[in-house]
Amino acid sequence: MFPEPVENLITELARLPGIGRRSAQRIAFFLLRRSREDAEALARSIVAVKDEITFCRQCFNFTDEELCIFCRDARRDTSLICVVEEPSDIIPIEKGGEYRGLYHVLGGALSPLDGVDPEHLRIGELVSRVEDGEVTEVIVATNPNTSGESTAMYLADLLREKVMITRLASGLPVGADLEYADEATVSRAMQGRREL
Amino acid sequence: MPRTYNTDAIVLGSHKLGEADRVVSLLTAERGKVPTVVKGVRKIKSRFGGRLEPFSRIQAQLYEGRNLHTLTGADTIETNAVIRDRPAALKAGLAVIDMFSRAIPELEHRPRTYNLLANYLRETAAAAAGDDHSFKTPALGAQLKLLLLAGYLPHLASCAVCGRDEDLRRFSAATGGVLCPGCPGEAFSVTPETVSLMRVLLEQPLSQATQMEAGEKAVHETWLCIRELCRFYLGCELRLEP
Repeated sequence: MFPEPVENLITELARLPGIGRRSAQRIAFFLLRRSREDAEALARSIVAVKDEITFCRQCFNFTDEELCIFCRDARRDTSLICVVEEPSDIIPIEKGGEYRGLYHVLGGALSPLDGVDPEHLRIGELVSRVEDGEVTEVIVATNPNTSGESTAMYLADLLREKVMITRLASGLPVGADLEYADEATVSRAMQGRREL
Repeated sequence: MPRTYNTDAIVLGSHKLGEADRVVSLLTAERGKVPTVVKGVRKIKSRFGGRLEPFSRIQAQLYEGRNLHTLTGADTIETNAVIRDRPAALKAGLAVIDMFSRAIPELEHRPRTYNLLANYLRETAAAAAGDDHSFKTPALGAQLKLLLLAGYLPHLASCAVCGRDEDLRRFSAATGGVLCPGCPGEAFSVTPETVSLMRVLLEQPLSQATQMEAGEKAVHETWLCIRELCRFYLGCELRLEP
C-alpha cells in the first residue's frame, strides 16, 4: 500500500512493545512530516544506545560506564543490596525515595517450565558480592507472582547462612478500596500486618 | 457470534502480552483449555490481583472473541496458595500443570480432566498445609490418571507382548507397557517396585497417594515411564520431574 521504505519503517516500528500496526503508521507519517535533522537525531540516539549502553560490572543495571550511577555513587549505603528481576524494576524503587542502598539485577526470575534455571540468572554474581563481606542485608524485590516467589525462596535458602535476607512486603495498594481486593492479597496483607 | 459465558477454571500458567496484559492459560470445566487475554493484570491496581496465579481455582467470566477469549471477571473458589508457599509442593504442582498444559488440546470439553486436576490441587493443598506428606506420589498419580483419561493407560499387569505375568523388568512406551525379558521391543529397565507403584497409583484415589511411601528409584522410574508415554503418544516433552 505504501512505498517500500515507508512499509519497512512501519514494520520495524510495529515490532516495538505496545505498538500495533495502526500506531506504527501514525508514527511513520509523523516522522515523514518532520525535518531530516529530527529523523537523523532519532536514528543516532537509537544507534548510540546500542553502541554505548552495557551492563554494570557490579550490579548488571544498564550503564554507559563500567559502573552504573548507583554503584558509582559514594553516598549510597553499600551494606544493602536490593535484588530485582530487571533494570526497569529499579525505577519505581528509586521514585519511592525510601531506599538508599545498591541494587543487583538478576536478569529474570526462576521458571522451570520456561527453562529458566538458577544458572541462567546472575545468582552466582550476587553470592560473590555477599561473600565479599560488606553486605549486611539483601532485600529480595522480585515480583509477587509464582516465579518471583520461587526465586525469593531459592535466594533465601542460598544466602540465609551468610547474610540477613528480607522480602518486600505484600499487601493492599495505597489508594485502593479493601472491598475490591482479592483473597490472596488480603491474606498476605493480614499475615504482614504491623503494630501501630 | 461472540458471546460471554461463566465457567469454573483452573489457572495453568501465563505469559506476558504487551505493556500490562497477560495471556493466561485456563483449564475450564465447560470448554477445556482456553487461552485467555487478561487486560491490565500486571498493573498494581488490577482488579484481578492475585486471583490468576498458577493453581488458583476461579469462577471466570469470559468473552468469546474471534481468536482469543478475554477474561472479564474472576472470583476465587480456592486460592491453593499453600502449594506455592512450599518448594516441594510447588515443584510437584508445576510438573503436573506442565503435563496438563502440554497434553490437553485447546477448546476440547473434558470435564473428567478438569475434575482430576481440581481434585489433585485440593489434595496437594491439604497435604501442604500439614507435615510429613509426600508431594511426588500424588503428582505422579495425577499424571498417570491423565494418561488413563487420554486413552493411553499403560499395560502393567502382564507383558504387553506375550502376556506373561512375572519378571516384568522392562518398560516400552511403543509397545504400551511392561515387557518380559524374552519379548522384543526397545525398552528400558524398571524395578518391580516401579511397576507396583504405577499400578497402585492408578488404582487408588489421589487422597491416599499423599500418605504413600515409595522409594526414590521407583518414583524416578515412574516419571521416566510417564515421560516416555507422553513423548510417544501425545507428542509432548515433559520438562519437570515432580
